[in-house]
Amino acid sequence: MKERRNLRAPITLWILLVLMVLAGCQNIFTYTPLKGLQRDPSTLSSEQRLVYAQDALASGDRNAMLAAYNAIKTDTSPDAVHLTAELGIELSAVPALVNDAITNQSALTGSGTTVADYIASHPGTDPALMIAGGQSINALAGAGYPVTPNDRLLGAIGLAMNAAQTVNSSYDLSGVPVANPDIAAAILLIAPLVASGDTFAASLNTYLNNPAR
Amino acid sequence: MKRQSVRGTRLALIAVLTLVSSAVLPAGSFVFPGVEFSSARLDAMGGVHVALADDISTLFSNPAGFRQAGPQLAVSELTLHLSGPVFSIADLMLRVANGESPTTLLSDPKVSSLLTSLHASAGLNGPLSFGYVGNGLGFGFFNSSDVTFETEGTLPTVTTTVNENLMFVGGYAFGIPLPPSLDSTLDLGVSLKVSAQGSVVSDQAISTLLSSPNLSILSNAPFDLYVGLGVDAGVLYTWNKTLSVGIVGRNLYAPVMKNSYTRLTSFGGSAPSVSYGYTPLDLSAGILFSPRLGLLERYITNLKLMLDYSDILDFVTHASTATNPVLHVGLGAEVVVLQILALRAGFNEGYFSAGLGLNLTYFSLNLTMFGSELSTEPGLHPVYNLLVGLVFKY
Repeated sequence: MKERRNLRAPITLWILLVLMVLAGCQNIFTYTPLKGLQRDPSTLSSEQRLVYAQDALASGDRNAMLAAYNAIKTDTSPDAVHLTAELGIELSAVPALVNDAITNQSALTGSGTTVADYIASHPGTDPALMIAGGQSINALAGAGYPVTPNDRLLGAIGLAMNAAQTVNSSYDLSGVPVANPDIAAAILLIAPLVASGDTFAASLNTYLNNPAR
Repeated sequence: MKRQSVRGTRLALIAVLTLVSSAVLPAGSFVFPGVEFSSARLDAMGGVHVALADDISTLFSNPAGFRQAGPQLAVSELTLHLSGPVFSIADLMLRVANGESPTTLLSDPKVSSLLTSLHASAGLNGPLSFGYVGNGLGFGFFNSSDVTFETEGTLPTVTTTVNENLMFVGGYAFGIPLPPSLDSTLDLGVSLKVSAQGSVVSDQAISTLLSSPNLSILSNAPFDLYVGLGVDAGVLYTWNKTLSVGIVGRNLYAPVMKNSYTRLTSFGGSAPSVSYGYTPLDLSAGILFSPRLGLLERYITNLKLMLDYSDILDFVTHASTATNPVLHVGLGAEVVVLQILALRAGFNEGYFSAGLGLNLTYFSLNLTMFGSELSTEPGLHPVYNLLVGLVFKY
C-alpha cells in the first residue's frame, strides 16, 4: 500500500508534464512562417472573395474580416450582401454587448448598460456598420433569403439603433414610437424567434413594443 | 520518329483534356469533398506522399504503389483524432462536470474568446480497417466516425456535425518492363473506391447545448446520406530503390448521390429527396529520396525524405475554394531507429508536424501532432491536431 502511495506523486507529475508539453505544442503546431504570403482578397475572383469572407468570419481575425468586408462590400449578389452584413455586424463590436446581455452581465433593454451606454464607453464600436448590417439582413429576410436566428436578433438591434439615431440623434430608444418604421421592421424580423420560444428575443420584443420605454 | 513524337504529344494532350474535362464538366450540381481517412503516420510526415509506397496507406495515396508496397495485411485499427483547442475544451468540460452554470461559463472572457471561432472535433478510425496490399493487388474496408463543433461570431451558434464514414477500395498495379540497364521500375495502377457517409448537422445556441445536452437535438436534425464512387489512377517510377517519382489522379470520375432526409429518425421510414454531385479531381505529384546510410544503418534505417505538391489543378476543378499555392506543398521525413522506433517530421499546409511510431511485431503504436489550415490562406484559421493510434498489421 505504501509503495502504491509513493507512486501517485510521480505519476501525477508525469501526467502534468505530458499535458504541459502537449499544451505547449499547440502553439508550436499552429504557428506558420508563411502567414506573410496570404493573398490580398481584393485580387481574388468574386467567388473566391466570398469563400475568403466566410473563412475570415469563422477565423475571428478582425484584420482579415475588415479586408474581406472591403473586398465584397460592392458585390450585390444575395450571398455577398449577407456576408457583408454579417462581417459589418461583427466588426461593429456591438454583438459583444448582446452576448453580455444574454449572459445576464448587462441589461440591453432596461437599467444598466444599454446600447447607448455601451457605445459611449467603447470607442472601438462602429454603430454605422451595425445599422447597415441590420438593414441588409431585413431586406434579405423580406426577400426570402435564409437568414439565421442570430442574423434576425442582431439585425433587429441594428434597425432599432437606426430608429434611435433618426429620432433622437443618439442610440437611446427613449421616446421612439412603436410605429416607427424601423422599430416595426425590427419587431417583424424577430417574430419567428419569439414564436419559437427564444427567451432573449421575447424580452427584446416586449421592450420594443413598450411605448413607455 | 518525328511523326511518332507528334502522335505521342497529341495522345498525351487528349488524355490530359479528358482527365480535366471529366472533373470540370461533372454531371452533378454540388461539390462533395470526399471521404478521407486520417493516418497517424502520414499526418506526422506532412500528409499524403504519392511517391511513398510501403504500407497499407498506399491504398489512399497512389494505386501504382501496390507492387512496391507490402505485402502487408492490416487487420484492424483504433486511432483517436482530436482537433482544435483540445486542452481548453477539456478544461471547459471539467467546469461543466463540476456544476458550473452555462451563464457563468459564457460570461468568462476566455470562454467567450474561445467560442468566437471554435473548430473542435473528435474522431475514431476503425475498428473496421481490414486490407491487403502487395504483389500488385490492393484492397481494403475502412470505417471512421467523427463529431465536429464549430462556431463563428461573438454571438455564437454551435454547429454540430456527426459523420459516419465507410469505404471500400480495391485496385491493381502492373509493371511496365524497362531495360535492366536502367536499374528502374515503372508501375501503373488503377483503383476503384466506393464510399458512404452519413451526416447529421444541427445548429444550437451555445447556452442550450451547455444547459441541456440531449441526443434528441441530433435525432431531430436533418440527415444526409452520401454514396459515391471514385476512380484513381497513378504512375510510380523508381530508380535504384533510392529515388521515386509519383503522379496520381484521384477522383478521375467521382459521381456522388445525396439522399436527404428531413430528420435522422426518418431514415429508412420515408423516401429521401435525391440530388447528384461530384468529388473534384485531385491531381498530385511527389518525389521520394531514400538514401543508403552505410555504417549508420546499424542504428538508423529507412530514411525517407519526401516532397509533394497536391491538388495541382484546384484552380480549375474547384476554383472558388482553390487554396493559396503554398498550402499545396508537403514535406516529410521518416527514419527508423534500432529497427523499432520511427521518428517522423513534416511540413504541410504551412504548419509543422511531428510524430513517433513504435513498430512491434503484430501492431504499431503511433502518436502524432500537427497543424492544419481550415481556410484557403496560410495562417488565417489554424487548427491543432493530435492523433494516438494502434494499427494491427502483419
